[in-house]
Amino acid sequence: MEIFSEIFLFGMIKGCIYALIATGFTLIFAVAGILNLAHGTFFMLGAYISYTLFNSIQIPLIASILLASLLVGFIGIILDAVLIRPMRESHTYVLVLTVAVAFAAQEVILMIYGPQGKNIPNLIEGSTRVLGVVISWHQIAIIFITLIVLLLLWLALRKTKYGIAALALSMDETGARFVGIESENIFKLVMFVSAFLAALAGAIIAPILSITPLMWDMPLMKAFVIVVMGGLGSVLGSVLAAFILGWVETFVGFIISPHITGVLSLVILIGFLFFRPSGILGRRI
Amino acid sequence: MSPENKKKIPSVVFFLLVFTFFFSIPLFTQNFYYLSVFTTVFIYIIFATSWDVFAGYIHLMNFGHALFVGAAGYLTAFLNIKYGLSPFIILPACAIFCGILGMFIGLATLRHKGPYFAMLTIAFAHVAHESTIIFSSYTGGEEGIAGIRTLTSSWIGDYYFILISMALIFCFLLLYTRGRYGLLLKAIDQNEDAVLASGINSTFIKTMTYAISGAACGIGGSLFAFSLMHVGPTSMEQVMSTTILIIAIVGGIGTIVGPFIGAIILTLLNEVLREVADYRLLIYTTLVVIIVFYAPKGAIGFSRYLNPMCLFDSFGRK
Repeated sequence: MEIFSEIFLFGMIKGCIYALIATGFTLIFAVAGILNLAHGTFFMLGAYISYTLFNSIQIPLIASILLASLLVGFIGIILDAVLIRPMRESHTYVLVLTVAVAFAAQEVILMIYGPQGKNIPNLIEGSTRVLGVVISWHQIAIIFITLIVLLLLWLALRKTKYGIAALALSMDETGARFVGIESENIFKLVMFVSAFLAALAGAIIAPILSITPLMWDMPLMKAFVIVVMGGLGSVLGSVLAAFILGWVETFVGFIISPHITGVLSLVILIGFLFFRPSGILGRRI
Repeated sequence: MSPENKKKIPSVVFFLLVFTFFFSIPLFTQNFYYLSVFTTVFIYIIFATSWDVFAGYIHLMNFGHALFVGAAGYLTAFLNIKYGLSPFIILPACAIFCGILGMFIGLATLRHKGPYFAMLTIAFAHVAHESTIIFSSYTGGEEGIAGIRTLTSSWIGDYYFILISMALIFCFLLLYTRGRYGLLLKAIDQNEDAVLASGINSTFIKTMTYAISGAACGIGGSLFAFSLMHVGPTSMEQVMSTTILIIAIVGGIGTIVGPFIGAIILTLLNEVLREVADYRLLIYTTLVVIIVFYAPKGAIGFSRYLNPMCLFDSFGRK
């Protein structure tokens, strides 16, 4: 039985990180129609900036993680204002520009930090036993932070003026503008939230992964798979799909081999494209 | 003679000059370095034009073109090293294999509207790259497979083999896009519903064009492996796909001629920038941002400044 509780817990941690990455990715796509290939770059920047803040300026880790996520959120706004907004009408150029940004960021980070992996310490040291499995406090912290953030996001989308405006924009942009929603401000806000969530994911997973300039493409791939599984533009579907993917990958990793998880997510992606392109829930935010 | 044909003459003259130059290079110099630089130019011309025939015309961005480069490269290595087949069998085999691969990806994605295609092209190339590491007992892992025999027995022979393959593929793609299918592709880009309403199966045309794009690139990928005598996972990396895309955008997408010129410019620039190799990707990505904002037609867009000669007018996008 122990193996099942291990799969449950470690799959859940994977799912948490995937959920943080994918909700931002799907949110900016649903609301602004931007398929942001630089989303993985936010993840990477979150990890690197929190590493720098923690090591060079030596502020507490939890503060540096939060500060890094906020900073990356503003980087997202700048990216949106300078590069994406003028080209938002053309899907093609948005894709090209964001992939160019992703590679440029990779090169800049490579120049500053070099190719060696960096590490930051755990938020909370030590480990404990849950359901008979040894699990570090940091991993428990990841689960709680994610659940709180997702709950806040859900409340923000459902209960606040801005969240409802974002929902309206995702349904019909012209109609939303007619009733006086300032779409550009909402796009900025959504871009901020999207970049913030990705950076937070990068910063809190950094103690477990090693931070390298090439770490941006894994989250991008997972975000693709998850948004197709959950339905393009559905935030709830993305959260569900993130946890399902986390559990399935961990299960297959435990039972067969951890090397095939990358291929596994592609198989899932193709399966969904052939048999259920609208995803688990279809297009609902 | 119609004005349309009159306009075409200078560009035909231009291409005759360019190809005469390419064919006569070995007469001036037998230097291995210069020949290998131009061989690289020709191979990148194949990559970029084959990318353009699909992505440039329909504006569905293909971010995983390196999949075909790598797939053809590994197939070449297997067929050449294990079975000792000659290039004349391997090149068509690679074309067919990559064509089927393209058809499969096209069938999975091109039925759907939206960004599924761009996403799946990245995913496929990524997983193919990962598979080379997973199945390292067959693919040699990070180091790849070395020891592919050369195309012909001499450097000059290789040069002409690759040049002629490039010329044939280039002419084929040019004819394909200047004919009925090119017009249909442009129509699909403008208004797919109208094309469907005219009783044309747009999904079939898109899938077929993607398969052709893959097949042409498969030949290029095979030649790439032959000319390096080696194939490795780097041929399938995202950097490769992005380089192809950047070459096409810098040259001017949706023209076939644009990527041809883009490949010449960027590959030669690449040699000049050898000292600052670390900054190369940064320079390229900056270049592409500038091109997208200030010259979305690419290098070929500048041809209108040469108006007295109306050099490329008939090829440039309206």
